[in-house]
Amino acid sequence: MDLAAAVATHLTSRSLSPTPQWLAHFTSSVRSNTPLPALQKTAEFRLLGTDITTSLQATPQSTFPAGISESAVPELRIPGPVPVQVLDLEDIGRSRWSQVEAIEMDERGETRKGHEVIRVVPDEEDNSDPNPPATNAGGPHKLLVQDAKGNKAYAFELEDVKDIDISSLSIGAKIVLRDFTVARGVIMLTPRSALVLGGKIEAWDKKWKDDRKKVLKEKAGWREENAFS
Amino acid sequence: MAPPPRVLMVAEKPSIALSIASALSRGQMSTRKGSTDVHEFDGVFLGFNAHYKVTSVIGHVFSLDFPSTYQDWKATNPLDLFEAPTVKSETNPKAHIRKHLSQEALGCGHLVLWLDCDREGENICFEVIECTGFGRNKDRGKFYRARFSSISEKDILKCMDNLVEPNKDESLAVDARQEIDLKVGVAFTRFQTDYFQGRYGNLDARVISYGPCQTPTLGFCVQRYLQLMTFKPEKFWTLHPYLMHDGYEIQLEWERQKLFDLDVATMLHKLVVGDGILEVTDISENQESKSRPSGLNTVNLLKVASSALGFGPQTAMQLAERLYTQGFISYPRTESTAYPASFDFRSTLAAQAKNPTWGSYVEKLLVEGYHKPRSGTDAGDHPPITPVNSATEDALGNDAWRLYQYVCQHFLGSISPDLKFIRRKVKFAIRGELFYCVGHRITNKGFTSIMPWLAINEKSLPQFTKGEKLKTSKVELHQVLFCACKTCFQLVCRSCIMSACGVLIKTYFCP
Repeated sequence: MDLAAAVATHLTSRSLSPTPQWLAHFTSSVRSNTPLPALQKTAEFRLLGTDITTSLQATPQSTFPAGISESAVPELRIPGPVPVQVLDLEDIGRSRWSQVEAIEMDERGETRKGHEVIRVVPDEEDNSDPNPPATNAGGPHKLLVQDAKGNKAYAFELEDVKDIDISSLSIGAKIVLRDFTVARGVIMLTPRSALVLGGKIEAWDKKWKDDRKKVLKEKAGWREENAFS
Repeated sequence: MAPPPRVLMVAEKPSIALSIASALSRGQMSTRKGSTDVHEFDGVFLGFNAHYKVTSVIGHVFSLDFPSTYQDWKATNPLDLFEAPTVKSETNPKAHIRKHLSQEALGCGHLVLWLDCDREGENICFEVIECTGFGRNKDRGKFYRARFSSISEKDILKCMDNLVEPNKDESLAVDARQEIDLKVGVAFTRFQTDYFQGRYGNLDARVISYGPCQTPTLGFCVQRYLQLMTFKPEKFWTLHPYLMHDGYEIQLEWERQKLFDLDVATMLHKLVVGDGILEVTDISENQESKSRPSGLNTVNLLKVASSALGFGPQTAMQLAERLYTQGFISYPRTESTAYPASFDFRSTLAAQAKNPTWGSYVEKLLVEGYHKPRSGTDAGDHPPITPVNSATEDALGNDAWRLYQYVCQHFLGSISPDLKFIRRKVKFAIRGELFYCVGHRITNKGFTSIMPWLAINEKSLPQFTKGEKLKTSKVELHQVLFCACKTCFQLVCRSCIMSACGVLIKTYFCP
């Protein structure tokens, strides 16, 4: 079995079928005497850093059906597997303002004392703060995902999926959806139906992180010109 | 026969000197005027007959400042202040306290220091020692320190049997603090006042003071103010299925509590409405309790004074200070929430037994036995704030009475049983979305009998069986918005019910 085929087989087993162009580019960039398992791992790692609309094959089974975002359709079951990349990630269990405050606290250095993370323990009788700082990982999350054809859809973390988390999931990360339900145009993510492969698209992720505070503030209704009205 | 030895006792304020003299002389003292009142009587000191003189200072005798050469702002570089010498001079020259003390000390072989038992008081002890000339050499007499946490007759008498030495280290710590405050305060005040001259049109830049305590505190206040001013109310959505039982409608709570995204909330609402059948997944009954409070410390007193009684911290401390010097509560500046091992609960309780409002509750505690208090923290300075002598509203005035009442109720609560109740939680599932309802049945009111605002509401739930399937009577999506009133910073929540097509049906306020 030649190198390219061996690598392609491995990637397909991870539900990431590369385009012939990407495969050719990859095999030409590696030393042929590298052991195969290492090559396969490297290929997967590199693929996880690409834009799947250019690097993956798009077949009817591996992409979204037409009208996936129709809110009139009560339920749709899709076998997949459909690999998607994450374009946006939101924690919809907490107010945006409390997330802005958490970022600002971190910027001011208030969440760490040297290498030690400071945890704020809520006062047992103090129920006065309607905007409590997040004490746990947060969630549930709402994601904007994109398939290999470029189609976008929203996804909601119906049940807690361990790796879907603002601190650990990057923009451009890959998730493989299998046997999943779409309810009224929103993809339902559960640990059974969503496998987080990870990865990221460096430039998109950096921009997302840089803009995050500004975006959250705008969503919260903050306008610079009426800062102190 | 030699005249009896003379003992000079010095308190921090004239009112405390009066209380001490009254307690020790059983009211049989003679009083004469001086810079501050002097009370004289005969008694027993350390086992021998003695003649007592009880007087006071009025706070610190001396204050720290720079010599006159450093007083000209224009002529002094603020940086030089750090190495500059400092001088102590009388705080209140017109009161002639130093002269008063040295005169009263003549002929006295013993000095007992009754300054308040905090670090400042310890520092004043050594100021008094300095003024009276005690301890300068062996024949100049002995000095002693009285340690007390309240101005009650009982405490004062007990003190006399437990006199100790004043703590020089604590006093030196105050000296260091005074020098730091002076140098840092003056240097930065002068520097930043100069800096702000003409910088902002509407800033009165005559003096922009800096203090190592006040300025960081100002920082906290500004931060909190900005948080409140920039608070952005955001809408969120909650989902509530209802079911009918025996003609009553029961509202179920959402395990997710709330979501900040309308599209997802609407999608879940439609999902639940489309199904309409709730399944009982779990029924649990647990014995729960709410702990009695631990002893009252200053911070918690100020919090309650602010939130429940409407007193700002300064007013609250003034009221508390007065209640202390008049012997109604123990020393109000304490960080401890744990009662010391030696604390006399019985007599503190007994003093409250005749109170018309809670007297019968106190009797019950005395007869049935009071509860061991929670452990808390012992900062080693003073015990938690407790009532000392009993009082009436007429004697105290309305404001002081309300604060005193709280101190009493808190003390009684801290030695009452915990609140015990049975919590029944029934869990439901509908299309994978989880809901619940909770009922409470109180089995022992405990401390909430005396602190009723901390009680929980009872709520009974009908019987359910696990696996039972019930039809929803309706499923509502509520849109909720917290609004902050910018005047009083109270938060009001506006809750609206949304229909299935997103129309707002009903709006109601719940402050």
